[in-house]
Amino acid sequence: MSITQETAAHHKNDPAVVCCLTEAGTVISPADLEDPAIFPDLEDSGLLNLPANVLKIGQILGAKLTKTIDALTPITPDVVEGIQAIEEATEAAVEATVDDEGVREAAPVATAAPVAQVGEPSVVAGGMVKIRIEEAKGINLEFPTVVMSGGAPAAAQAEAPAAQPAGAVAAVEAAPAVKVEDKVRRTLNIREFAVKKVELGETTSFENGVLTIRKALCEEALKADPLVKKIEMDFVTPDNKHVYSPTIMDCMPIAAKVEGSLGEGVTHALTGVVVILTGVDESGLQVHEFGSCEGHMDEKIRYGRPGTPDEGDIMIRVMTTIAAGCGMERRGPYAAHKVCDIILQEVREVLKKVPAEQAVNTIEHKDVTRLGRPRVVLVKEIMGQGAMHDNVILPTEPAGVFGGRPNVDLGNVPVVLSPNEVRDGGIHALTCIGPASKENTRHYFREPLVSLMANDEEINLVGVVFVGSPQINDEKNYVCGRVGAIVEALGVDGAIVTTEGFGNNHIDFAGHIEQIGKRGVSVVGVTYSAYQGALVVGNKYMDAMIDLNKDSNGFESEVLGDNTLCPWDAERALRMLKTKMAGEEIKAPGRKWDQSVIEANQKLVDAAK
Amino acid sequence: MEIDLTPRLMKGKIVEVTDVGVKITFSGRLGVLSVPLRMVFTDKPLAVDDDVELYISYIQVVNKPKE
Repeated sequence: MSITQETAAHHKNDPAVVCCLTEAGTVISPADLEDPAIFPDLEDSGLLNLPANVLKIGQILGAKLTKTIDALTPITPDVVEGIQAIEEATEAAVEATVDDEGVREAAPVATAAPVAQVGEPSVVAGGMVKIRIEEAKGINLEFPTVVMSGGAPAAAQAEAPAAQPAGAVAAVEAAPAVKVEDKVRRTLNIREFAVKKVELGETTSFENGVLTIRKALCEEALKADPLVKKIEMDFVTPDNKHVYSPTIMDCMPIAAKVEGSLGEGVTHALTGVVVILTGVDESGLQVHEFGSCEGHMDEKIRYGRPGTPDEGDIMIRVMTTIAAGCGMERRGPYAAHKVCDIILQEVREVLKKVPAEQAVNTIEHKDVTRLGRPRVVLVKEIMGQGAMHDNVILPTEPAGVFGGRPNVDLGNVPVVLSPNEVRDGGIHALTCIGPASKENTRHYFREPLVSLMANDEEINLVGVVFVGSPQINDEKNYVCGRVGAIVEALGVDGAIVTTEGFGNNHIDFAGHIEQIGKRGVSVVGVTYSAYQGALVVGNKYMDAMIDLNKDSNGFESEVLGDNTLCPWDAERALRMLKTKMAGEEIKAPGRKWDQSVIEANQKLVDAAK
Repeated sequence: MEIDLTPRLMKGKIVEVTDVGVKITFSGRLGVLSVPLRMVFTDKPLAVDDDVELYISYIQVVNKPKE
């Protein structure tokens, strides 16, 4: 099948192969060539073998064939005359050069070079510098590498050409200096209190690092939902993790609001301890039947992930048994989360009263408007197919349940949270399948991409959009459209879209990226994909993707939290976004998953620190 | 023995829908498959008797025989 002029231009550096029988004497045009996009398939099927001396499309357009060749024959120097030299592409970089041809548009934003190739931190100019040079010669444009962290205004400078040829017109239009300023919208202080020991007792208390939980709480919590038939509680210590556990439905922090509402004021949080919610039904069926990770806790948990326990954490296990068959209904898993929240609320009430001076650490989170920096948004696609594919948005207490609204009940439409609201436990996850890719409640409490983007002084994170993933394609299109409208209204320059796990959620994941990309916004996608979760749809805006896989074979490893978004993934994602916003080229991935690409990108990002 | 595990298009029917997943039977009484909702792509609300199709191959045991 022949290709168009546009396709030929795009593939000018790819091998030239004729699509049909082509006669000697033919002056080669795009209509004579096969589409390079299908070469890998042709090679796999044995229909095409590319020799080392095959010429590039850019070299043979307009050249004359000296010999008649069959369809799918690579064009080599011995069958053609009049080989053209390929004009090297001018890279959009800090320093733009205009060549003799003269008609070229420089990069719209003066920024640093691609993630993969530059050791220096990416720098994004505060203002938009637009340069259009109709015709010119010998022009050098120099821009300062403006670093925003110092708060200095971004002053774009353009050096005028020393000498212009007669008749040349050079119009350099620079935006006025942009005001660079940080405006703190709200501040959240999380006081951390270290737990050394957890035990059961007559009353709930926290003294001298010992958390005591009232024995009778489990029995009382049963009253919260008749679907929960039994609750047991025990404690798994770091030195004895080889303990069998029913499936882990969630891993959550214990935190309580002391002053203000979620996202501002003061929160007290316990460190060195997490809550593990487990569930089976009365017939012994695991509540997360498809995504269950029952087994020994030292083997079935990837410790140290954002959403899982750390190696040294004490695990408070709340083990629920729900009514037979209810694990497959929405109300079953939700009941288990509710009763667990009842138990934790008594701990929270105690935690609220602990004197501030006993805190071992205070973390200050700020929601900051970084004026003069590119506006970016983080879109987190969360599950919304029902049952445990659901999340409670903005509960009253950090990482709690009560007071929040499930995204399924909200129709899965996008809801905007501030970075601080997320970091203050604004999402309680009912956790989807499977174990390796699910983002537990603790994941959102210390979401690495939110933290990285919120703290990065080169960008202005305007908010975090949570959008549910419904089951039906029409509903997916609906929520994708709303994400596009929100992003348009926010007027952002860049966006990162993340999703959790794989399957039909990749339909709307791709849809969100398309809705954002078609509005001219640079967008990066982040997902687990690898081998097992390979994407099922795609579009032209999905050209900058981050894969969260950590499994050597590219599978859902059935280890809790294994393939979730980690701090180093967040760094790759943000650097990818900065690269794309800079207008730099992002190399296309191979046809098949290759972990070495991920590792190579990681090395480049690490080296640039 | 090397077996050709090329997947082939199979047809089936949904026999159970829950809040979590669906159960399908393969045409030809060739078995039952239970999968979570996110493995199913649909333009309409899922219902019992919906026709489905998927690629599936024969199944080969990969454990080595015990010596």
